[in-house]
Amino acid sequence: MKHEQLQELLHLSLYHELDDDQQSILDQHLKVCAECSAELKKLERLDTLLQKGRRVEITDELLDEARRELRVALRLEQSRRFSFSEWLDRLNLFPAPGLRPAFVGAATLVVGVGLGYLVFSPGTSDSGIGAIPAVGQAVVERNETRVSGFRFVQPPDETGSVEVVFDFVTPVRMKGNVADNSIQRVLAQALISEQNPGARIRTVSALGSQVLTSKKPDADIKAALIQALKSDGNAGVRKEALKALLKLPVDKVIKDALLYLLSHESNPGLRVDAINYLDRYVLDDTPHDQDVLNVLKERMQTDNNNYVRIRAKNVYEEVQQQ
Amino acid sequence: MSQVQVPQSSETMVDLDLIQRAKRGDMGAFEQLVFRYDKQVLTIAARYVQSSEDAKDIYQEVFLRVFRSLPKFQLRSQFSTWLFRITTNVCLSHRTKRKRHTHASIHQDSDDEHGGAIAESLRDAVETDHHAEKTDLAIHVEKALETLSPKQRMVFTMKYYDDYKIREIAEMTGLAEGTVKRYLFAATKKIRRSLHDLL
Repeated sequence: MKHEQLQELLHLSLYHELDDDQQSILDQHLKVCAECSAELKKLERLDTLLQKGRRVEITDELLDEARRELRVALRLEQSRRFSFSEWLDRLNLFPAPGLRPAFVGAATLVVGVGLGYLVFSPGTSDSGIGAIPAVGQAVVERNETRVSGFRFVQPPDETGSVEVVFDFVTPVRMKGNVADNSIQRVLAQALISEQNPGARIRTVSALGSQVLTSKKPDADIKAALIQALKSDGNAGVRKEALKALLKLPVDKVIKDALLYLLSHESNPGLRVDAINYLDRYVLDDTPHDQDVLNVLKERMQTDNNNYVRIRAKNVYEEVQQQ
Repeated sequence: MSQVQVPQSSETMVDLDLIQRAKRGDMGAFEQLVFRYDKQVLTIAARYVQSSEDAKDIYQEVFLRVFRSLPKFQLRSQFSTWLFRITTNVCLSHRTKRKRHTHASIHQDSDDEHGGAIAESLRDAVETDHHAEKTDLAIHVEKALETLSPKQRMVFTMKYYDDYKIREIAEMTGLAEGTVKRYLFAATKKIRRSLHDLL
């Protein structure tokens, strides 16, 4: 076997990819070839180094957090996905064409009720991904459902077959207390899906005013605020979300959100806010929190804003001196 | 029309049942399906991006894609194969975002007057703490990983950190086994070059 092929076997041996015969050939070769033995040792050192330098550990908390955020995203996805075209598709299964208009009327009613259920029906705290919030004490008034955003996916062909998409919108007026579970769920939904940033800022403020009064805020509200903090396109909304979150007791989830903000936020003002909050609420209690120190260190080394680097350095050094 | 028949183990049968129920709108079944594989998805993503926050973004994107596409999933391959193919695709396309979020390195920063001063003072800092050393090492490893192409990085992290077999990586990424080996060897070569001083 050529030396090059044996070098390849060296790599594969380290990956535990050799069969018994190949391993035996390699073992024999290693006994007589100093160069390959040295190469194997280098590869083993590289492997050790890479394992030591591994940054992210998958913890149960991280998995739980990912699942919580997925639940919120799936709820939003579900409400977007619910399209009347699915109902039209089902009409094709209806046996008597003459009865279709009546079925359309019935289907409209069902969809209206279904949408109402989707947003307002009761749920339980241990429900699954598709869990639906409770109405609670809020007064709900639904107005006439209408179609908007209509467009043809496929115009009518010679057989009359057609495919359309549209939004099925029911204006709803809701009155209640911001502490009410159903109001909070709607606000959380609006925070993620509302197009108008002004409305999103007011939504965050409303949620923020509620978290002050609540001893144990809903995990979904918290997840929605964190999602807004991390991914909303408007810096004002992100700032409001940060303010709202920091009214809650700082736990690991909030700490991680702050660290994410410090690492990924494009607005330097918000990065400074994150440093200040970490300094005040996390390092005050646990001055040697390694996660925080690592991110601060990274910021003071790599941030593209002078003030952020200096602020991170000051806090980092202050903690080191304690 | 003939369809490819996939051998069905008891695990596959469980998936099949959950998929069919999820297709009918049973969100509980979809959740169970997610929970069967989501730790693996999160692990692959985290090893690839080396960041828990980016890994969660990838995790969410993967399962949203699965949720959207499940009605069209024809069961011509195993669910897990399809899922991991989506996972690797999302990881590969996530690179753009990761790059966009990556700030200037120490060396780039030292071109800047103030950044240079800070970097200088950092080099003088005493770092004997084990955690600090580990962090430094992690930064070096991360920088070494950044020299790889997305596919090299994908293959490399799946092999080194997740310990998948080359055959499994080929199946999960849709690459030929020979290509996986080629990426792996090239990646190892680059990483060794980058970490030369530490070896």
